[in-house]
Amino acid sequence: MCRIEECPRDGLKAFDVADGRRVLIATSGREVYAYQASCPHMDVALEDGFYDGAVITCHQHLWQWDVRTGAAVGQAEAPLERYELSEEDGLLYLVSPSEAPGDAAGGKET
Amino acid sequence: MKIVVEAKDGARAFECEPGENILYAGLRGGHELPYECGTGTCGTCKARTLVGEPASAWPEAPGYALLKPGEILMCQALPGADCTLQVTPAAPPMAADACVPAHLDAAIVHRKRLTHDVISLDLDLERPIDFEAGQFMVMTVPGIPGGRAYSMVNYARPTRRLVFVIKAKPGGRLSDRLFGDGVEGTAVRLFGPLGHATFHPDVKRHVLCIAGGSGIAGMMAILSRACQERHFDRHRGDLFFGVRTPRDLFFLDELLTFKKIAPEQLHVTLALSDADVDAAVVDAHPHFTFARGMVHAVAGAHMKGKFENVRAYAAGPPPMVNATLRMLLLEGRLKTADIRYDKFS
Repeated sequence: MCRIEECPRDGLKAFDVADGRRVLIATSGREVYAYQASCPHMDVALEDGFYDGAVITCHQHLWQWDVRTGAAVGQAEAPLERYELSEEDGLLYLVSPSEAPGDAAGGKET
Repeated sequence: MKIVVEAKDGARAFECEPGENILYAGLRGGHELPYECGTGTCGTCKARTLVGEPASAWPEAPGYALLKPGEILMCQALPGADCTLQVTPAAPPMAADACVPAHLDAAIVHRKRLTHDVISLDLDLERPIDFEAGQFMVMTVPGIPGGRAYSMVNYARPTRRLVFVIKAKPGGRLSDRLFGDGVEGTAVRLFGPLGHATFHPDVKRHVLCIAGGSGIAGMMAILSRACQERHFDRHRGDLFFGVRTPRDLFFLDELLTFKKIAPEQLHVTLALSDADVDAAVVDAHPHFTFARGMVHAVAGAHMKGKFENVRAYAAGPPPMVNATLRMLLLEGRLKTADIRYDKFS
């Protein structure tokens, strides 16, 4: 999908993947997370949102999510869909649902 | 026509008059339907149509770009028959003390020039109304399609008088009309009051207002109510008003009146984005602080260490509001519930 160094430290960046999905990569310290790239409220691009390395905020209506889990924080009414990542030689790959490990918690250590 | 809106918390049914949009029909019926701008741009009033196909008052409305197939904007939806819609959020009945919006006839009775490209308009309503400080009206002028949103500058309860601030938009039909000759006496239609960026003195918090250009309008109502109810006897008030150059400033006399009511607790900072602060301007306005910079950055710098127990209000051009939200969240560490603004884009 992308190289790790393309993802800003404690930042947000969205990538298009081969199956047509757009994926938001959020980094927090050494952790890397992948989520749906658009807000579940009104499909606003989350990469344009506000992010402090811990909480992602959509700039449209200030819905917020915990970057570690995608769980809704505060006024948000829906969680973010989480995608599983794997990393090899500095390249990030999306793990397709069929090969995803059962445990969806925790970020990818890089 | 009978409209049913299915929401997370149940179904709401109300009547919609011919030519009236579904959003306004539901709001005046006392149902808290989702909306922000009320004028076709923000997309917040989106709904899925289950029964019926309402026509659109403005098919080119920018808000349509935010929709998925099968969705409509309630603020533009003109039903030709009974309709059933579905919205994502809850749509509870309005609180008993809510200022329920209504269609109102009004007349422009006075125009005042505030700067080279800003005027204020005084309007007289057909009957007295209540509104919250920080709310706005959607104004429609006969012969000009579409409504525009204007925040009330004044605050009195109840009142038949409303004051709006209008910035010139060269080439805009409504702007040309309102800045042109003979506007006094013009009959207009209003819908409102609308908007959630409101100030209540029972919220025991410091007040931080950050305004760009004509976004100062609603802040004047907020400061007016806060002064009337002696909110600054117990809480701090900080207003940051951003314009390009000193000649773009207005309402300085009115701000001075507020400042004299709360000389110790209310701080007014005027931010100039495109001009240095010269001594003549500073000397002419000894009660105000001047700073050069974008208003969100000036506010962030001046408020450093003072964000505790603050409720913030933001209004102005969309990029300015966006930058202000970023500052309030990331520098101020405010909770989203303590940031009040109405999205107009």
